[in-house]
Amino acid sequence: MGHSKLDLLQGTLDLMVLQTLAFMGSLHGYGIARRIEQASGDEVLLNQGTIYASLVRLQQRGWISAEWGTSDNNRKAKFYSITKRGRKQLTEDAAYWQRLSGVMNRVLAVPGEEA
Amino acid sequence: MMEGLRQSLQRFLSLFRGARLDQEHDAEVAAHLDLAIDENRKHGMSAEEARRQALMQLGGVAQTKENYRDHRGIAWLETLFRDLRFTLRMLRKSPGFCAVAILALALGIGFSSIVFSIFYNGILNPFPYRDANRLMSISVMDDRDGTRQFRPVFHLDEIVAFRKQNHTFEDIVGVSSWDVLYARNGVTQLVHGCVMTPNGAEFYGVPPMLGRGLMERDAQPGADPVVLLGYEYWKKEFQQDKTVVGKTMMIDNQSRTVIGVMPPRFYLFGADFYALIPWNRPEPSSWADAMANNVPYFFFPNGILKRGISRDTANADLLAIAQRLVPLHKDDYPEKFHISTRGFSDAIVGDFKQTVFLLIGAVALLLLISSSNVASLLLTHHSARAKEIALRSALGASRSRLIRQLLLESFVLGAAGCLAGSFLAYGGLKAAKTLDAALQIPGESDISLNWQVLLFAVAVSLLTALLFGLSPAFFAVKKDLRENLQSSGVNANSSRRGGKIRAGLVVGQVALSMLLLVFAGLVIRSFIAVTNFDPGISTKNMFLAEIHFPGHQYDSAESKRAYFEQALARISAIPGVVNAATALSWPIEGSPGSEDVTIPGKPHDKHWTTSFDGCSEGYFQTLGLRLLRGRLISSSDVASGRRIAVVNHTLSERYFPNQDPIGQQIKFNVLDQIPGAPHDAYFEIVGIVSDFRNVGLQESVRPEAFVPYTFSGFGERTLFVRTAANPNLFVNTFRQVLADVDPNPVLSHPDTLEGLLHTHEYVKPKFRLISFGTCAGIGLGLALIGLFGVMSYSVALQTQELGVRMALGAQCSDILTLVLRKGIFLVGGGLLLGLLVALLSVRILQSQLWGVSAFDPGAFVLAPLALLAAGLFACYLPARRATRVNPIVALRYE
Repeated sequence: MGHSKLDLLQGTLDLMVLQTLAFMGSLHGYGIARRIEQASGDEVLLNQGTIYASLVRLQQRGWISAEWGTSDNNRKAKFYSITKRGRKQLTEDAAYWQRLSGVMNRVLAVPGEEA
Repeated sequence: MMEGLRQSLQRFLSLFRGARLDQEHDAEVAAHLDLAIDENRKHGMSAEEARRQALMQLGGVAQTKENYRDHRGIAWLETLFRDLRFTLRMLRKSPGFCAVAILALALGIGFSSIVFSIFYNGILNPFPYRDANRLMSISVMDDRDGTRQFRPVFHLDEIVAFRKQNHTFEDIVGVSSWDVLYARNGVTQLVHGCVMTPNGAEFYGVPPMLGRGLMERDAQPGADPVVLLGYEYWKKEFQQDKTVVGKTMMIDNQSRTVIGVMPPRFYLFGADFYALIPWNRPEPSSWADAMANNVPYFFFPNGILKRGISRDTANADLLAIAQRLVPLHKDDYPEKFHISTRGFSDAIVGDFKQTVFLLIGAVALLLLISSSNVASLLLTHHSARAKEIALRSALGASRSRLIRQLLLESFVLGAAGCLAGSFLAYGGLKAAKTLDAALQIPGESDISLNWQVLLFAVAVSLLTALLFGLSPAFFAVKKDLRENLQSSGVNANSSRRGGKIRAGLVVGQVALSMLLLVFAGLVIRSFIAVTNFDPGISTKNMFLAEIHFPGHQYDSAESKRAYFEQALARISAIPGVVNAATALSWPIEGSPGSEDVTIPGKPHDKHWTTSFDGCSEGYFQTLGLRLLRGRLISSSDVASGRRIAVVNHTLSERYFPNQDPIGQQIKFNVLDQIPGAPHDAYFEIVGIVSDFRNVGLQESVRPEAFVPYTFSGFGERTLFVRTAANPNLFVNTFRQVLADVDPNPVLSHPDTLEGLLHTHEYVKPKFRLISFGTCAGIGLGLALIGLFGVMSYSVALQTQELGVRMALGAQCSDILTLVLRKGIFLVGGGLLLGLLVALLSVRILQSQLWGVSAFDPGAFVLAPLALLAAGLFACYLPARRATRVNPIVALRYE
């Protein structure tokens, strides 16, 4: 088997979207999807379509806002940007993920019994 | 938390702007693809390849949109809306099925809502008064021979004592009716008033509709005399004129200012007006004294029980007080007694409750019939859709999804039935309003379609929708679905099991409607028995009225005689009048109380009592009583006030068995207490007349004695006139003739004997007749529809088989027999089952019947015959259609 892509863990996509928007400012759906793919070094398996489920979720919670605008190459597209509450949420969630990945690293570093 | 709430709200809101959001998202996805294609083209792909890659990266347009929608709104609610739209479309396709199902449900739901409203608003919650559930009436109970009510009324000083000394009531009020004369625009009329002790102003807690209410200070000495009007009287007498407040009324020779009008539901004593009476009003020395001065003598006490106090505790508390009162009112307490408090509604509603409870049972049966009717309709409807259901299942619809959709259909039908039923109930309750008063439903009650009744209707429709929808839905989906896909058209084999269920449902419906028919039959027979019952007085063209004399006029026997001699002579002279008479009381209803008698030479331990009336010489002829022995009262007896008595047959049988009562003496002890009446007087019995029912139609005849009305000048009198035509046409003539004699006495409560019997005797049987009859009629109609439906369906299934039979030479009559045999089996099965249940349960109806046995053969024979005939007719129509099957067409079917 070759190198297979990673399935996204539940809830991680929302965090990635928030982080992307916090870093990049205003961005449309395609741009966010591409950015995540690039940032992950094409490691994650992302149906770009799922980004829209995440976007509507975040929008309904009031963490991002949306506005129609024009892209660099003159296409009309919906642009998303992170809100103040979204930034707060991002800080909390990022801290949580860092703690979790730290714990995961430590746990996996302990040599287990090999069967 | 906040975010969660916000998200839910957003999701919910998005349900209502789905179309716009969808459009926006479409544009967004299109933009996404365009951006992706642009980028791919930049990397040198061909236009086609760029688009293919973009779509792959996106993961499909449809999936993206579906995924987006799932996250945007509330998935199940959207599905529900979609299903609802689909269901409505499906139902629109079969309007006949819908119409019958909704009609069946509307009848069941509508009728049960009407009965629920009568129960809830008329029995459970009739009173608008404060703390109505703790509102009690109080009576002295006689414990001498068993327990019976001695008196529900008290002297004012007794009520004061109860009020001051009790520990169990928040407050006790005394209320009495007070009928007085009131002159307006030159016409004097008798008005029905209600006086209350001063605390009555606050006690009932109902604010006036207009003006101000009574206040405690209105009863203080020196306060301006005031009066508060009842709604009905205000409507009738003043045509709802709002300016009446502030005007004065001459009531009982006293000018009183009208201070306000009470709302319609304040119906205490059904009074025309309300006034206060001071606690310390001078106590009349006797009942006769009170009568002579026209002031209230006895008061009905109403108390509000303290929270958490039981009625037994209150009874004991009041008994202790009452025992201290015995020396003050020796004659008003039996030797052995106790005090009993009863809930206000118990005291008023009486035996009507029983009728309503039985009616609740009847409508429950009706609901069962209508839901099983709809269930069998649904079974047929679903089997016609068997192929569609199978196809949908094959295309991936889960079982639960299919059942949910079929159930939704039931709920939609239920909702439509609920709506139609509520309209039905609204109309029915309007019609029922006219029945209220005589039915012992308190006048305060508002039997209408209020929110509680609507809630009931909704709950019942939900329940029935589950009841009739669940099993057909499971049944439709449970079957081996492949079979339905393979078969062409309606398949007899796969429907056989459904057919059995349908047959069972129809048998059940027939049985239930049989039960209702037997009940209705009994109630009808009872109604006929009551209305045809001969009370002993000829009821045809009998006019009755009360003559009310102003205070201190016509007090003496001589003045009464002078008045009536003239009045009766003039009335008798009116063309069309057969004869006229006067007495003390009304016949049949409202006879005078039964009082102790003494008969010399006849010692007895038990109380010997008799009713007692004072009559003019024409009384017996006017009423149509037959002389059995001796002689009647003569005009010379009346003129001289001779102490003679004519007794009824029952009195002579009871107190003079095997003995001739003529020439014997009898003393009416009650006269000793009436001032102006002969005290210690013995009357010689001179004649015996035939009995008439003197305590209502349903109780056995009491002993009664008639003496010349001139024995005393005391009290109001009754006028009887036998006319040759409808007595109602004579009322004004009578009034005029009486006014010619003297304009002061007032003719009040004019009625006919038939009218009187209608109010007191026929109304309840009539209510039962209408209610149970309607129930049974609807039940029968529904069962016949069910029967017809099942038979038609089974004929449709058998078309091919019948065609083969006819091709092989079967005659029309053979086919008819074949089909009818099944029908007879269904009708007969249901009929026998219903009869059996009826025989076992009919005893509960006993209390509602009079003059007919619960096992009345008429009802038990006629009802099944009617059902059989109607049932066979319902089967005959489909059977006849079966004989018209064209064998060629039938065989071509497959």
